[in-house]
Amino acid sequence: MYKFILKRLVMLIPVLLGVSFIVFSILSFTPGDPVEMRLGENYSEEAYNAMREEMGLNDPFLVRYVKYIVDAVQGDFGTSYRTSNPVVEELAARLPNTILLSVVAMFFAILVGIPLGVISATHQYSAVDNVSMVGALFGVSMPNFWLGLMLIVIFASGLGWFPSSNFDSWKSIVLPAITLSVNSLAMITRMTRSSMLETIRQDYIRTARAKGLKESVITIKHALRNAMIPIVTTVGLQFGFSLGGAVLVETVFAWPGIGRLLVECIKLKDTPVVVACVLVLATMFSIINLCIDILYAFLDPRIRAQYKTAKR
Amino acid sequence: MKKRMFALLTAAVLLCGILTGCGGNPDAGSQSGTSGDSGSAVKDTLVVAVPDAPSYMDPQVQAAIATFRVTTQMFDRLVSLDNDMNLVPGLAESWDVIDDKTTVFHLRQGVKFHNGEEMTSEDVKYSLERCIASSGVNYNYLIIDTITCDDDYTVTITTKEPFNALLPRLTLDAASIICKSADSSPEEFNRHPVGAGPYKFVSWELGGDVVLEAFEDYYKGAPAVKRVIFRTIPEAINRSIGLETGEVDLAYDLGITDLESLAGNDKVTTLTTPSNTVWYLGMNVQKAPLDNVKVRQAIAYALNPQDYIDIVFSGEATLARNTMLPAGVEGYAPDTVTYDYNVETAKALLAEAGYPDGFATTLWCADSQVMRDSAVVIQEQLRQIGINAEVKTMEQGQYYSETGKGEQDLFIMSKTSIDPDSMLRAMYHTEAFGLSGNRSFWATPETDEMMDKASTTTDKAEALELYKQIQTIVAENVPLVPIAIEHLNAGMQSNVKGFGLYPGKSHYIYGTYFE
Repeated sequence: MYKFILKRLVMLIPVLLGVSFIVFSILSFTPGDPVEMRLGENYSEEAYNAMREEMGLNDPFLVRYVKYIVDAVQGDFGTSYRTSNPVVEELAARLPNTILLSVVAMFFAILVGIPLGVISATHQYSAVDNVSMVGALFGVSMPNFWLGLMLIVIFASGLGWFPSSNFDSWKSIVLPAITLSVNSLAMITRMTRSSMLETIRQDYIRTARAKGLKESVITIKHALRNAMIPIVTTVGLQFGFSLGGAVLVETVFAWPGIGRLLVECIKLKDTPVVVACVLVLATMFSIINLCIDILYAFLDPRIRAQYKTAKR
Repeated sequence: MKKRMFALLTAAVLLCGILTGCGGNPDAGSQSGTSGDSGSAVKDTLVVAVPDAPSYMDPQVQAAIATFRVTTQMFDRLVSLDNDMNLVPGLAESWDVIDDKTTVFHLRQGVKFHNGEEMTSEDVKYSLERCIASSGVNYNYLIIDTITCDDDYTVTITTKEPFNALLPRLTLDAASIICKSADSSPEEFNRHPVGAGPYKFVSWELGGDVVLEAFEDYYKGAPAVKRVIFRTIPEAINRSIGLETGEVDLAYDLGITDLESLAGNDKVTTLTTPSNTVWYLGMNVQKAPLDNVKVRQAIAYALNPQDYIDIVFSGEATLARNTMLPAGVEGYAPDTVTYDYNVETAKALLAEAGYPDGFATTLWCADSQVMRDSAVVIQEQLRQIGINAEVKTMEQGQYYSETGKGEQDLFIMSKTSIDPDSMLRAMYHTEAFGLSGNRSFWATPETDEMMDKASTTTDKAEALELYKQIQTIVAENVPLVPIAIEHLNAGMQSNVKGFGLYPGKSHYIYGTYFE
């Protein structure tokens, strides 16, 4: 088991190298000059050249990339072109906000999505099922920035229940978290329903029922447990996506997280911050997936057995 | 098995709890800043919504409006411009122009910095030299030759060349006077900025609010608003909604469409004023057929600026009256030559120039809403006289650099200025060819000389006369067509009084009070 985890963590290295290379090259080869972004419309030729040299932009691309990686490995992610702050500081100030938002959103999605999916499956074609499936379709297909704006118009502007863009009480997280969770909520509901539908038709469920077990015990202990693998997979993927989705939601709600930082820095060609943001998001995505893989082992003895043989 | 599941679940819940707890902590500090609470306490906190986050608290790193909008509250300059663009004394009580290169400033005595120290000529010398040494902001100050302290309250500034636009330059935020002893290192100063302005720095969470507090010993008197919070809200619609819900007291740069909807709300007041930003259609005179003055005049006649303003700015802009100088700037001479919208005249001029059927060309713009809209409107207006302009849109940084190299034919751009010299020189002088601003690449030795003379003479009447002549000559030659002066706006709760818009965009909070 530990060997498996270690192996997965080692595999993270080529992934991160690949990601950083792609982002770095996109930012280097797309038009736009960070020096100009920094100096504005009017500047002297000398100021431009001095700034360019100072920012180390005169080196060839590969030299800059290797330099970046060498520094990054030692924990130095450079300084932001925009604010001259260490990138690590810039990220550390925002990361907790993004994690908070994603975690609350996923919590909400799981707490609502799984029960809704289970009920939809056990009461197939009932009113609850139909309503929740139409709702899920709506949730999957709705762009979240639009939903965010609608929620602001209704609940912040219209009813005045929640702030539209504030960051000082529990109330401020409600709208962004709901916005961010709707997509995942819909996916989780649909996956739970279809996975449950498959398991409740299995022979062992019929056996359990024949033994006279309570329906609730059958549903939760026998059916849901066995339906869990695809659900957990979906949750993991959605968690990862929600980190990315935070980019839009954070901009709409002026939430001071990594997503908004990323957008601001892409606009200003602040390469060191952009690369670091993407690396952090990629790392978190990978680690979440690793956690999901480990969770499989707890859920399914057969998978656990495989991990054990792999160890030998 | 059941136990393990339970343990796992508990762990998950705990983990979430920890994360939530950690994430929740940093914002606890800004709780006192909540506005809109109808308590018995006297309201003295002003929440200001701005579209872009400041990058520095140090005004001398980079010329950026987002930064200056905050720093201008903390740092005063030797002289400043009021909201009507009149030069008023600041930290300098008075000044004498000795000759065309030398100005002596008499500093106000007893002015305190936020740390309690008294401001002296040493601080002034230090601040301005610091500004000149900073490549991000020194563009306007390289003309300064020496700064000397004659005594504790007298500073003499000499320029390398005779120059008379020194005073307006010194009103800019880059020329902020900082406390010398507080500047132990750039990083330290950025974290703990110390100036002599009406507000002192309290805190700045990365990506979060900037909190400022009234400086009770401010030399013009303590500010009425005791606490100012700058909050970054990128979306224009959210700033309007923030006003409607009372979350923010004052919001800069509202969307034009939101202004209309806020007009019906009596809890919110809006304010608009012409800025110093002039939008123009530039023409690269190094490229045929734009090298022909008749063609350029034809284009000027073909443009319908009022339609342009109605479409691009929903009517919220002022006509630029055939000059690049905004009204209110010294030397403003409107309509010395006029090109009233007239398709027939335009066609006749084109025919005279040898293009009776028009021609094909390109129209360049950067990838911003205003520029894209402008390009479409201008493209259509030019089509009326047979000019077929293909719109080329590109990313902003690339746009500035390519147009600086002179790759373009027609192009859309804007320029902001507070004095005639910096505007006219950047637009029409040989030395500004390319990146420095003259992207039309039009200049004559005659106008170059007039500009140099106008910027050096100490005879004000002569300077004004020269500026008028320059504006006439460039209007005749139309290397670019000034079209519209952008409006600035802000919205505020109706109980917020005394706030005014500064055409240079970095509005002063000082003077604002709650009713």
